[in-house]
Parts: sequence; structure tokens; C-alpha cells
Amino acid sequence: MEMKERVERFRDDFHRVVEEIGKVIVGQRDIIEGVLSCLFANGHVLLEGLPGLGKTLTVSTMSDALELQFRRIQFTPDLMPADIIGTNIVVESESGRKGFQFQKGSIFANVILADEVNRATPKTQSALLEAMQEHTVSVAGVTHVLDEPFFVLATQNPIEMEGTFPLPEAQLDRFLFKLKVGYPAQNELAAILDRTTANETPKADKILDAERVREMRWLIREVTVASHVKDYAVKLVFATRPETELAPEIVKQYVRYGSSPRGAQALILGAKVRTLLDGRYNIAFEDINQVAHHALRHRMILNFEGEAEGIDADEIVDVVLEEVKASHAAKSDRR
Amino acid sequence: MLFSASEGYILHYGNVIRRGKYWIEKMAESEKDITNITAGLARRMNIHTVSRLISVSMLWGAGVAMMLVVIGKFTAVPLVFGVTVILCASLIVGIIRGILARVSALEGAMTTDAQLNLKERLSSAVELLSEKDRKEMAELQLEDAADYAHSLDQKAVCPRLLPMTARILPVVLTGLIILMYVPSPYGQAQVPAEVRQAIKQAGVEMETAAGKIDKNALSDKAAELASKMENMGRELQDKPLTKKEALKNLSKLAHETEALKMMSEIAEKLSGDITPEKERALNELLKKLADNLKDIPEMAEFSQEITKSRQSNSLKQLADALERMGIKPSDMDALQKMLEQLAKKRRDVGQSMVRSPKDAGGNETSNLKADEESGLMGSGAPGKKTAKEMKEEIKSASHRPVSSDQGYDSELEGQVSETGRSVPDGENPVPKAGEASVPYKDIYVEYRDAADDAVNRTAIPWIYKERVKSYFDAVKPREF
Repeated sequence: MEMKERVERFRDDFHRVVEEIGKVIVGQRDIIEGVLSCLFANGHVLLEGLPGLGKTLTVSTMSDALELQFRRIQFTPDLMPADIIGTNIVVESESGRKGFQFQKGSIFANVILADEVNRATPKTQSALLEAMQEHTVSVAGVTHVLDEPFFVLATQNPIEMEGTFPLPEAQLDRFLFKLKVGYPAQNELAAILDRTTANETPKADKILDAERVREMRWLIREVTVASHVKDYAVKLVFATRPETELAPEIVKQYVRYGSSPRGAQALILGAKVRTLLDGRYNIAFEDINQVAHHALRHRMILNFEGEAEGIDADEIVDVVLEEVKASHAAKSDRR
Repeated sequence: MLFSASEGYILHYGNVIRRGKYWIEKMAESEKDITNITAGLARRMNIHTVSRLISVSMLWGAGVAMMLVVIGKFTAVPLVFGVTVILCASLIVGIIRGILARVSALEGAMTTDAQLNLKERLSSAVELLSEKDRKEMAELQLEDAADYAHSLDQKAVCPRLLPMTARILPVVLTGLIILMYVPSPYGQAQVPAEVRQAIKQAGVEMETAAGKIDKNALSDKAAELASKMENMGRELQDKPLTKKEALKNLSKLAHETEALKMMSEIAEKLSGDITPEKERALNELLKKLADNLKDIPEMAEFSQEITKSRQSNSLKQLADALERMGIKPSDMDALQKMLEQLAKKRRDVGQSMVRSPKDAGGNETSNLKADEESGLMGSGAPGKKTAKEMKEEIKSASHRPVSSDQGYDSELEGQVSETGRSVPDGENPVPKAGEASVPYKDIYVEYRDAADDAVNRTAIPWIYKERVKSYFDAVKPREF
């Protein structure tokens, strides 16, 4: 198949999945596209929103649309790492011989829904670290490779912080995007009522299988990036770091630690998905701008002053974008 | 990356790779399109950028030049030279800035992307051109960019080749030229051609005359004055001096020469026996010399010596002092010739004002007008002659035939005989109608002394003193 056809097929398949999820989920188009972008960019996604906004439903519907093995893990304070990754258990063979056998945990699936991830203890949350980064789990000195595609969707609630354990920075950094789920619009809420208060509830059909998802992941990485576009992404990431010259005043005042290199990777990968969806073959600054909030908001650690004043990371990203855009435009104007 | 299709060069991040025409022909259509169009865009932007920077620089230069021209209206400044230097310097600065600010094809493509919202299609494609092993996706990108490049209008990106600054530059430069030739209300900006010619001519003659003097035969001081005269001759030729400055310089040198001549004369008189008559004449001469030296700071040393000698009242001491100063009676002839030359040149330069038709209603008469208004010229003169009357006299004197080197022949009725010499009028007989009753030489001396007293008593500018002196030089009788 020619590359052009592959790109067109990517776009079609992506939109088909979005449409299929849209049969169940009303609105939330940005969230659905963001989640799918993470899936095809080979990243993981963290969904944050108030209870009842359809986070879990979105994820389960997406798993319905994809012919992938889906597992849901409800994170609770008493959840143990072994419950997630698995453990060695003593098994007696037919001959009466006893030995250890690895019992796979819930993580051995293609799509994992880590529901209310911040309710588990940091010890349990950390069980996901290796799996999310390396796509492997190590138990008793043995490394087990997870099936591809491997995709973690975690949800968390920004309120009801009592009895929760905020995700550690290392864990947060492993999520490609952090998506904020908002309230549905008035007309959307009416549609939600129509769909959820009748006897028949819509269900998504299977659209893509694991093989197709792997192909789409490969295609995304084929998109080339021009050096000046790469520079732009790098400048954005540098501007989130208070110790750099590029950092605007708000970053210097309220941010303790800026984005890691994973932030730049997230910007470029997210932008590549947007590029293909827009029918282009090259990344534009606009693509990077569109994913900047999703990719950077959870990678900036606010200092005490920022926390005390209730500064939202999105405000900081807005300022960073404006400053970097302005410096870029000034350079262009000089020409 | 910068591409020149005609020469077959690819410039990428400072690396120059030479490519033959064959290579260019082998390029895919899409690559050719992108290459040619982005190079064309960059060229267009470069013309715009370079012309903008040059014109901005020249506008600054024109502004500075205008300030210089305005200053030139009040003081003597070599305007044409100054303005030319400023404009050339600003042009060079503009060219250097323009060269440094040249945009590459990549930068041109980036600007185009930004202006036409091409979403970095062109700039990404330009960068891909330099890659050797391109992936399939990259080829697709090139094709996509080529489609856009085809449809884009270069004029939409860079609408005008010449920026606004370059278009207003000729207007500003024209204004500058007009301003340069606007006559100054103070009469000091431009030296009229006739006056300049007269000054130049005086300079040539002075240089020649001074060059002919045998400096080895003169004392050090006299030789120094002769060299000074030669240099001044060159200065009058080369420097764009105003008439006022030229007259001032000439008068200053004439003063010095006259003082030295007087000292030589005193030295000569001291060499022989001193009779009471001679002593009286010497005292008179010394008094005059002392007055003269006051105005010459360069001869302060001589002035002190003369004052000391006069205070001690010893002619012997005076003779010793003059000897110590190296004053030689033998310098007198040469100094006299120099004085005559300087007087003639002062007269020539001074008359250029009256002769010049431009001056009649223009700048130069403004000095006299100013004199009239201030009353300076007539303030100290006996008989309360006004400046207007004096100007009329100068004018009429300028129409008289000029004698060899002693000023003008006096043609006033009653004072000059047919032989050209003054006739003593005896008992001042009653004159006929239209004739003067007092001998001209008497009235001349009386008026001149009164004028001298007046100018010495009153704090008036040097140039006006000179003018009064020039006037009396011009109208002095032959015997003087």
C-alpha cells in the first residue's frame, strides 16, 4: 500500500473510532481525540474530572471500539502491587511436585483502565512505573513482557482529596497527556439523558484490532519534523523551567520544576497525530500549540507560592505559549 | 538552505556543496519547484530587506546632513564635502547591515509559511531537500509543498520590492539639496562665487609674491612672516573661507608685519646718531608700536621688551633689546613689500563685496545693513557721517581707476591738481560752489584719527575695526 493511502486510511480509521465512541459518549470530542492520540502515539493518558462526567464510560467505550483485551482496575487504598502485576503462587503438579508459578496480574492486557488511580497507596501506584515505561513487569527476578499494544488510561478526581494519594512526579511524567474532562454543554446533557434513560443503551462496535493499532503507531513515527519546528517544541519545554532564560516571569515565580524531556516527546508525538489528521505530512507550530496544554500541564511542579495562590498549570502554559510565539514572531518580523 | 539554480550551488547551514547543472536537471519536479520558488521568494525579500536597511540608514544620514546644513547657515562649514561624507557613510552602513540581514531560502520559506498560513509546509520541505535518504513520507511532504508553492503568488508574500523608506528617500534627498542652496539669512553660509573667486585670486597672488621673497636674507621673524604669508595664500585658495574670515586673517597678518616693520625702522633709526628730532620721531614711533603690539598676542614677547625699554627711557637698552630679538633694519624693504601686498589683497577681497552683483541685494550687503542699523560705522566718525554715506563712498571709490598699489587716486575737487598731487590751499580761500574749503589731506588725517580713537575706545568687533581701517586706506590721499 502506498504511503498516501496509508495516511488516508489512518485518518479514516481514526474518525471511524471517534464516531463509534460518539454513539455512546455525547460531546467530549476533544477528550476522545486526545485519548486516541495517546493510544496511537504509544503513550498513556490521565483523565481528570469531577465524578459523573463519563471518564470511565469513555474508556470502556473505547475498548469496545477496539478489538483489544481490556481490563479495569479499581484503585483502592488496600490494593496491593501484586494485585496489579501478578505474583508467584505455589502450584502442585499432577505428579505431586510443588513449584512456583507466575500468576499474571490485571496489567496483562492491551488496554488498562486504572480507575481512580489516586486512591491507591504510592506503593501500589508505583507498580505501574515499569509497565508504563518499559512495557514489562519484573517479579521475583523474572521480567515478563506485556502484549502490544499496551495502553494505560487512568482517571482521577480533583476533589474529595481526603484519603487519596496524589500521584508522584515520576508517575505523572509517564502519562503522555493529562486530559481535563469538563461538564457537558446544555444540549449535550439533553442528549445524554436521551441515551441513558431508555431501556436500550447504544453500544460501540469493534473497529480496529491490535494489528491495525500497531500499524497506525508505526505510521505516526514516520512523520518527519523540521528542525525549526523541533526548536519551537524545545523552546516551549525550556520556557517551563524557571532556571532558564526563556522562562517567563510567571514560571519563575510559581514553578519549582519544569517539564522533563518527556514533555518535548509528548509535544512532538501529539503533534504528529494532529498532522496526519489534518491531511498534512509535516508538523506545524499550530499542531504543537494544540497539544501543549495536554502535554505540559502535569509536568510542571508548582512551588509553595503557586500552590498557595491556587495557580492553575494551564494559565502558566498559556503564558509560556504566548511568550514563545511572540519571540518567534519577532524573529520573523526582523526578516 | 540557499539555492542558486543558475550557478548550481546548494548552501546548507554554511556548507557549500557545488552541484552541476546535470544534478539540477535530475531533480524531481517537486524539488525543482520548491527550490526555484523559495529562492525567488528569498531574492524578493532580500531586495526588500537590503533596500529597506539602506534607505533607513540613508534617511538617518540625510537627517544628520540636514542638521549640518542648518549649522552651515550660521558658521562656515565645508557643506558639500560634509554632506557627501555623511551620505556615503550612511550608504556604506546600510549596505553592510543589508548584507548581514540577508535571508536564506529557509528563512524566506518560514516567512511565507507564516504570512500565508501554509502550516510550515514550505519551510519543512526546504529543509527536507538537503536530506539524502528521504523516507516515503518525506517525498509526500515535498509533493504537497510543491503543490502549494505552485499556487502561491510571490507578490502576496512581499507585495512591494521597494519599502516605503526607499520610496521617500529621493524626496528627502531633494529636500536636503534644496536646503543646501537656500540662502542664509545671516549671510555666512555660502560664499558667493565672485567673492570666492576674489579670495582665491588673492591667495594665488599672495603665495606667488611671498614665494619670491628671499627668506634666507631676512631675519628669522621676517622669514617666518613671509612663510606665514605664503601659507595664508594657500589657505585662501583651498579653504572655503568667508570674506569676513579672509579679511580678518589678512588684517591680522598685516598687523604683525606692520609691527615688525616699525621695529625694523626703530632699529634703523637707532643705528646712527640720535638727534633730538630723531628722538622725538622715535618716541612717536614707539608709542604707535606699543599700541599696535597690544592687539597681537603672538608678539607679546616683543611687546614686553619694548615696554621695558620705554619705561627705562634708555635708547641704548632699546637698541640692545631689538638686537636680542633679531630685528634687522635690512628687513624693512621686504616687510614693506609684504605690507603692500597684504593691503592690496585686503582691498581686493573687501571690494569683491561691493563689486558682486549678488551682493548688491543679497547676503554680503547684510553686513553693511547691520552696520547701518547698529550705527557702528558712523558712531565714532567726526562730522557724524552715517554708515549709509560711508557705503556710498566705498561704492563710488570702487568705480575709480586704481593706481598701482597705493589705493585710489583722489578725484575730489579742490584737493588734487592736474599732476595728481595735493595742492596746499594756503589760507583756505573761499571755495567756489561745489568745492571743498579745507585741504583733503587735513580733513583726511583728522577724520582718520577720530575714527581710530573711536574704534580703540569702544569695544567693537575686530572685523569692524578692520572695515573702518580699510575704508580710510581706500580713501587716503596720495601723499600718505
